[in-house]
Amino acid sequence: MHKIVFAFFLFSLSSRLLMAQETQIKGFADVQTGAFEDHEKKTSHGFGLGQLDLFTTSQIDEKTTFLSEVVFEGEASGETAVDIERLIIRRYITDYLNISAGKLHTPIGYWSNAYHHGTLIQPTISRPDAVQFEDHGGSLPIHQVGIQFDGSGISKAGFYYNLMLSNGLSKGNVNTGLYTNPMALTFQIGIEPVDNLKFFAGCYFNQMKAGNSTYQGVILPRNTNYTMPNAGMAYLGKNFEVIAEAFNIMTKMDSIGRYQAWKGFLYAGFTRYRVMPYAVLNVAQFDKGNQYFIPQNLVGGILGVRYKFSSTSLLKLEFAANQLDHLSSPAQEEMHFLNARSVTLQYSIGF
Amino acid sequence: MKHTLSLFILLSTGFLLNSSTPKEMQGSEIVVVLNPNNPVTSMTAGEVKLMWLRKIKKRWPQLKKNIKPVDRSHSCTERDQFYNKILDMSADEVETYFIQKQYQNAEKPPEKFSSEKEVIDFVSNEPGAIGFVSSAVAHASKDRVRIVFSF
Repeated sequence: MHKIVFAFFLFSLSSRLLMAQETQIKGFADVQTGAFEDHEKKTSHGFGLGQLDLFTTSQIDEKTTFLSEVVFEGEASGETAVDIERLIIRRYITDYLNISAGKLHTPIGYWSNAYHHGTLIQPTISRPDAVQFEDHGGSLPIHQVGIQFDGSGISKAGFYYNLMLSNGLSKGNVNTGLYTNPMALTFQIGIEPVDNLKFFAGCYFNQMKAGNSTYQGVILPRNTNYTMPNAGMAYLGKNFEVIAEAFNIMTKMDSIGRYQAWKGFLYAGFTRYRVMPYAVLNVAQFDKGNQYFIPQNLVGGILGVRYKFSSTSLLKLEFAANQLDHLSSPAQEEMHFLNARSVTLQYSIGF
Repeated sequence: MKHTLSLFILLSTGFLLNSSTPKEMQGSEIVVVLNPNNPVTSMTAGEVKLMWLRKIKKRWPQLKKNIKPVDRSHSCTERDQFYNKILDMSADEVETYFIQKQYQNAEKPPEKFSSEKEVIDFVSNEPGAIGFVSSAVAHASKDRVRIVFSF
């Protein structure tokens, strides 16, 4: 409760302080209903609140912008969780160099940076497994606190790049500036040779100390080097869109060994008038005995259709099914969620 | 199989040609206007599109000011023509495009005005502005704005 009051206080304070600049407060919200069957074939159904996503943007001066994104989300316990999902101060230097500092979405792949928490903008209800948020069972570093350098539109090939130095994967003090573990380095390069078609590749590097916990709650037995090369493409045309991304997570633990994991997804959708049917294929493959992840191979898919009433009002109907190899850690509630079938109807708006 | 392949190649070529050929600009009822302090004197349709959408450049290179696109708040002939002929986008697509840009990078969406007079007032006062109005209105305000493209 205190967190919510504090978040509201912060939000209103920042709004007032920034009133002098060109500040806008906008938001996204969604409501949904559906049915869900878990890995033990237990079914449930009902209505649900999605995320209430409030974001503030401001033109601080000619070259500086500010963005904050605060998300309120109902939890299974009945409590409401509040998170500062993004807080970015961005300074324009040239068209080929911008500097952003704060809490950002890590520049890995396309989906993670194009679609944040507002489901209105996201093409699907569920994010692909590979780019799922950390607090929704995801295992990749989607949010990071640090500094990023980026530039775009370089040369006729539309070359762009992102370079980020951030607090790494280890839990604890990632937001406070009192982070004691090694920093993470992320880079991404890409081209946009024709309008709306992008090819990109990059890598995320981090070292983690023994005793630290991963996003999935695994306590690392040894110091670990984490390297994640990734690549993909995205085409978002008027009537057709496709996004394909692959992530190779290599973890090397001192005196234990090297493990690999692969995650990837393929999304495709067609637009006909205001209706867009779409499909997503999710795949995850882990080395046997992988000690960094809870290693559950996954094959899953989503079939859905969305109907656009307007640019700020959208209806989506989605059927999702995932199959995990086995479930080694019943305590992982979020992982249970992955191993399930569901049908969901969601109405999302922007305001 | 051969016929299917030929048809596929023909359709793909047609699609590529269609998407890469600039649209023919007909008539001269709508004009694109800049602030007179902006050193740019003429633009092509492609440049107007890139600048107005702030797609590659965020600032005018010589002026060293932010590009500030100016839009109309409601559907009107000028806006419909501009979206259709220059941007090749629907009103929904333009709205979604700027929502996404704002959501990703805090980029400010276009200033919107309900009348052409307000567009002229804003462009004449704002060095980085780029807007569109009817040719008659622009010519009546020739000393306040610079016409750089007409269609």
